[in-house]
Amino acid sequence: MNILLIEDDTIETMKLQRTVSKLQLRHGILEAKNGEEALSLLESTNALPDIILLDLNMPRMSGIEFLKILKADHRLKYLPTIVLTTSENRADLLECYEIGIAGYIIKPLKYEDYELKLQKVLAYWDINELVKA
Amino acid sequence: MLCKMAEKEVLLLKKALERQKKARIQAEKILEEKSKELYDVTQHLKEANSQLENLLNEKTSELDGVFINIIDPYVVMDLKFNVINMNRSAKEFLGYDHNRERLNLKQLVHPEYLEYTWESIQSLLEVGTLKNYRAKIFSKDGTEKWVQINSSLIYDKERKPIAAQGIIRDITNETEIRQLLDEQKRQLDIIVGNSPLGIALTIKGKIIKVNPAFENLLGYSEYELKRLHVKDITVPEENEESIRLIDQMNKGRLDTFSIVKKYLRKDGTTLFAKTTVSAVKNHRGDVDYQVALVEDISKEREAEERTKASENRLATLISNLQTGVLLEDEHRTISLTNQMFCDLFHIPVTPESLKGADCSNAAEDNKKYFKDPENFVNRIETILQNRKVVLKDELEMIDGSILERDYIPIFNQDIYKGHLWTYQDVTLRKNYKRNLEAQKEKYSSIIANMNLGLIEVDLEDTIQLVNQSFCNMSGFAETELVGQKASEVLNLIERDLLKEKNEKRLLGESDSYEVRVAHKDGRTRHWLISGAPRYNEAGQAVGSIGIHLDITDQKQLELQKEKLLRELESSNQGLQEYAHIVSHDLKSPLRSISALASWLAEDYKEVLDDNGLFNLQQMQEKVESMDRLISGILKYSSISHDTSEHTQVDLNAVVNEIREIIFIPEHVNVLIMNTLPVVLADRTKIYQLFQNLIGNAVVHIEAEQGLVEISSSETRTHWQFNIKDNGIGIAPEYHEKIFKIFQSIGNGERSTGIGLSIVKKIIDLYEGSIWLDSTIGQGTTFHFTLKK
Repeated sequence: MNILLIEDDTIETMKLQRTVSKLQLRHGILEAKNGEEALSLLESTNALPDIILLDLNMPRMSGIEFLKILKADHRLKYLPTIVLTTSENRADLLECYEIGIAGYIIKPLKYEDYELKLQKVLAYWDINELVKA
Repeated sequence: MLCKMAEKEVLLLKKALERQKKARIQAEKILEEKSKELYDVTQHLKEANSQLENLLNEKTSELDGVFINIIDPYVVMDLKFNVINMNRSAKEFLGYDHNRERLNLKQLVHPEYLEYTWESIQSLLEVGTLKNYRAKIFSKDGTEKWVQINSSLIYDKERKPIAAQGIIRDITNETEIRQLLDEQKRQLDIIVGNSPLGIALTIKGKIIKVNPAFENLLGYSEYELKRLHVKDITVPEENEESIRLIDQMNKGRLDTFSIVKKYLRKDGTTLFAKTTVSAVKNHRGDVDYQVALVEDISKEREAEERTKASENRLATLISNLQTGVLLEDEHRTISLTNQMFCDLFHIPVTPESLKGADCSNAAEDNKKYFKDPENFVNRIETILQNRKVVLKDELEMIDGSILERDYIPIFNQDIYKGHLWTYQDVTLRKNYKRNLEAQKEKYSSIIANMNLGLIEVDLEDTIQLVNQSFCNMSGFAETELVGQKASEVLNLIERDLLKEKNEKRLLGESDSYEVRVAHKDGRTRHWLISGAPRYNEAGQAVGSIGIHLDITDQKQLELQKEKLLRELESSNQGLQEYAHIVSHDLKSPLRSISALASWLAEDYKEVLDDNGLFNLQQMQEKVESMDRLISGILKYSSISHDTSEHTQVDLNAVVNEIREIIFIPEHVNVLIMNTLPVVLADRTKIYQLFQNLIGNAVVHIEAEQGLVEISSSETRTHWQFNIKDNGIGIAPEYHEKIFKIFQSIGNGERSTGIGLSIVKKIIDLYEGSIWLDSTIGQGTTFHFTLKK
């Protein structure tokens, strides 16, 4: 499974990398620092990722802005996008679901908890039927 | 030759003589025979004649005697009208004596009758007699006389008329009477013919003769009527009296009667006619004819019925009038009164029975009902003496009601015929008027003194009236306003609005609206205007009235408030966003620190000693408590009305859910003591509220068997909830402090001091209150209320 992680925080990227390698999962991880970068990456490739993990709070182009563009694009709108954020803001939650997301995961404080959560999320999406490009 | 001729002639002559001799002998012989015959006849005639002559002589003398003694004039005349003989009566009648003078009767005949006389003589000569010759003649003294003459011819012995004799009858009188009769008949015919009354002559019901009026009345011609029976043109009589009258006449006991009868016209319609029937009797007393005089009274009847109906209407009107009416005649006797009058003066009988009653004492009798009885009596006397119209006399009655009295004398051709009193109960009207005046008084003083500006305009928007407040409000003096066009004088900023409102007024609509207007000094003022249409007595809109309140101060406050609210709102929103951003920005590094610390511990656990590991552990804990603090602040700052979504929240379900989600130590039981209500609220907040309180309760229990009891009760306006635990208790000095933010009294690591602040803030939102009972070591009960 190819995962596109859109995240500006390097430590967060490391957390995902560490989790995937520690659990010996064979997922490929693509990285983008923000929405803009992610969009140009998606537009330039023919091999679309299977799922997107999206942070909300990012410079240049926030997660919600990216989500809106993604869902309006006839080619990209089928990509399951799971929000991975520290924001417990209910307004964000509602807006994301309204635009269209496949999940909303709050980043836990402890790394152990993060590992457990991500293991479940990845396992779940691993067994899902995905829209192959 | 001549000889010869002579000879021959002689011969011829001789022969002729011979023939003549023979013929003569023959003729003499016949003549002899005839003479003989003639002699015989003559002899015979002589005898007869002498006989007749004797007879005639006898008769003549006989007649002479008769004529002399005859009373009627007797005249004998020759055929040339000369009188031969006349008797004494004739002499007297005609004034002539034929013995003394020559008298020719023709000269006596009136010129008009000469022709008739000539014809009559011819007839006499032909027939021998003349009967009933009638003519006008002149007697000697010149008087006209009517005569009737019967005459016969007188013959001589040879049957040749030689004279005429006649007996004269003086018919002068007779003729005059007949002429008179004729004249009268003619006159009568004219009268009958031209009479507007229908006249019919009947015999036993059969119509014999009618006049044109009768024909016109019934639409039949006389010819048709003569073939009809009275029954055919009348409607059978129903009136008993009429039947009786007709019967009486038929029996001969009644000569004349008059009834109203209904007739059938030829065209099928009917008419009412006054009919006078007279019996015409013969000398034996039997009824020969009946004469009917018929007068069409349909119109009169109609008019009479109309009069009656109008009288009835008038009577009904008077009897139902809300005015007491009393009509007295000149003798002060009641001619007419009505129920209202009886009611007003407590007269316990019907108005009809009062008719004819004497009123001379009425004033004395009724004065007891009036507040000023003496004046009442005196006034009536004065009025009656003056006989002048008096209107609207006001009378106060002892029961408090007020009557208005009118007096109207009635004169017929200047002769006093009585008078009319009318009494009207005007109590209501009077009181109404008084109230109205009082109200008016009250309102005008209110209007004058009120703080509201009042303005009245007509349909052209011309100012009719303003009060002092309006002048103060607008900055104009009254004289600058009245008579001017409101829209021109007053500098309204929303000019079109006023126009629109004025149009509404015309449609009778009232409403209130706000306008901005420039005060005379140029400052902008805000007015609240309540406008309503003005009506005249007839209910027509004649303009509008406006009440103005200067709301500039309020308006400015309001504007200020609105501004503040907007600012507050944006600042709140900014704050919330800020809180989220801050919390994110604070939380992210915490997550990084936590991850890095745990990786350090994991990756370098071989290298680190126990102390190093412990410090890493401590670091994790501090990171955690900081994270909780940030979450708490975020939650607290998120509580506001703005995001509320009110739904029906079942608290039993909420508590059950909380029981499953939060950490509850093994030894603690959370119990719902009674069925909790369903409240209309924002589910998230209610959830936070209960979670914080229950969460607080369960973690502070040290007793072996922990017990948290949740119960509820209800007042008219609020729900009350009680959460009771058997925990360590809270010292009284903290009872208020615990609700303040960051004031934690717990010594546990997990306590942030925000939980109860959140609780308080939510309860405040629902207009409730929170308080607690607590005994150290025994437990605490939190009580809180939420507005329904």
